[in-house]
Amino acid sequence: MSKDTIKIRIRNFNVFYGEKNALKDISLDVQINKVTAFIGPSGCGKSTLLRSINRMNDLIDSFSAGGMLSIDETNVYDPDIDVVELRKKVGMVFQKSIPFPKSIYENVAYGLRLNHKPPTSEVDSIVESSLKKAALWDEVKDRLHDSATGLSGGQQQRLCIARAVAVNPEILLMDEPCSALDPISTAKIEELIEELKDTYTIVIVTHNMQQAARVSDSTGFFYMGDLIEFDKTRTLFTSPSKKATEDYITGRFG
Amino acid sequence: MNPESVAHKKNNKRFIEYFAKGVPAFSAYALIILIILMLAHFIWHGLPGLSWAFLTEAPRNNNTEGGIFPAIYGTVILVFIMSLLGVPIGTATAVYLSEYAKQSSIFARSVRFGVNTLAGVPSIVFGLFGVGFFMQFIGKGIDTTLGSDIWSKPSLLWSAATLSVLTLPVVIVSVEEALRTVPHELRAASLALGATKWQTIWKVVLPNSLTGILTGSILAIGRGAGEVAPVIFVGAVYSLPELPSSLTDQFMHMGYHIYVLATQSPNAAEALPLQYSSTLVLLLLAFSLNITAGLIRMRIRKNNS
Repeated sequence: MSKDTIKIRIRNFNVFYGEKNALKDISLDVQINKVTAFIGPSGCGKSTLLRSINRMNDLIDSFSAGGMLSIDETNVYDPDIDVVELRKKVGMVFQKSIPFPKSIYENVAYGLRLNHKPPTSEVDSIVESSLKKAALWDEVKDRLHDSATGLSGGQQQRLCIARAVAVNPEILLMDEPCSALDPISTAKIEELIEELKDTYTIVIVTHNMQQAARVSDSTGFFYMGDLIEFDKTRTLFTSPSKKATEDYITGRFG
Repeated sequence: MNPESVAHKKNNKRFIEYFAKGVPAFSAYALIILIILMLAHFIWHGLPGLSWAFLTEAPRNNNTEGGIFPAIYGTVILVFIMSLLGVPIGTATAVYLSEYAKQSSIFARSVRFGVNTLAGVPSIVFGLFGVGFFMQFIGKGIDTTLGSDIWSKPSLLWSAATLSVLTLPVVIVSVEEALRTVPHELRAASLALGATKWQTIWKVVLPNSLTGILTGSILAIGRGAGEVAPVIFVGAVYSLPELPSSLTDQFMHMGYHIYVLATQSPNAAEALPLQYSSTLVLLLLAFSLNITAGLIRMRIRKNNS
């Protein structure tokens, strides 16, 4: 592993919610343009780590972090970091995909228009390319100005992906993006992840181990705030080195 | 246990069930009946006196003849200015409480305590506060600075200011409630796209709580339009055929007008029909306000879904 292929470097990273140590001494590397999956039972800290990458945990009053978490060799928790800029660079797709109660077009354009007013033609083309990247364009191109809340669950989730890629991030964080979707929509999103990794570095949290096995290149297994094992997905799922990992992926607990 | 006592117990239970349903149901029906009776009473007595002239003319002959147009106009303009003053301040406070303040902080808790206390203060106290603070302190201050003598007198402006303080808790509570109904995920999505906190509030949170803000304003207007006690001290007058043309003018007020007709009239019997008709107009104003509020909410809800 050469150094320049590492996008996110995490070393001895700790998270506290008040007194509770939610993540203990986590160290791992996320490779550029690869899909990295975090798996583990509920409450194991996988979502906490994901949300630490774009500092969404800052919204929680009792949150505090220690150790190092850097993107392109810049520590995300450096006091000089502009969190707003960081979040533009690190897009996020949530478990519950809630589009803004605006039109499909306005949803995708939202991030673009935050700081300046780009010309309409530019917005038009970015909206189109983002929707294409999210494999939604063909389904919505004739009703871009309809309300986004009228879309199906799977379409809404892809709209949220389009909304995230529109601001041209380098990293995409996905927090259980398929947990509320039916199998067909899930398959579409997984296909999409496969395509998106050419452009973005993707970190995905999932409850679904088959999904982690299908879409990711590397997988980390978390349990009770510890990173039990982190390896190439193929290795982790075929010959895990830890007993706990094996028990979990074979469905013996969790 | 013998079968008889089981049956007895069962009957007992059944009775309690009937009772538990019956009392609330009766209260609910009684409420509707009360409203209908009230409306019927005022329509019966007030409708004969209602005419175009009554609505558009000024009172004459010591309020025993003529219409109530200055009172309608005064009330409407009063609550309008009141909303302009109170709704932005109330909304800003609600935004602070819901979006910025740490819920457990001493400051947020004191603000909340203040809001609740304000809501429980008798309205006459607000009137006295208006005299003391707005007229004699702020008004006097302006007069001393400008060398004028109009600001320290009762006026439309000070009445509106007093009422806006009185209605502030209504606005704050209903707007805060509305802000809290905006899903956390929407805020998170906006922040994750690189929006600042203020951009998130301005572009996502506030537009999505517009219904609540409007409801709050309308509730405040309803409350403000009905309050008589505070404005007696700070601006409403007994009878004034001219309409107020500036913020420092005094004005007639529906609620106060009804009070005056009922208690200050030289000939009570003669004033009674006028009083009924005025009350009917005030009721209709209140109802139409509520219906407008309902329509606005329905429309916004429809647009959002």
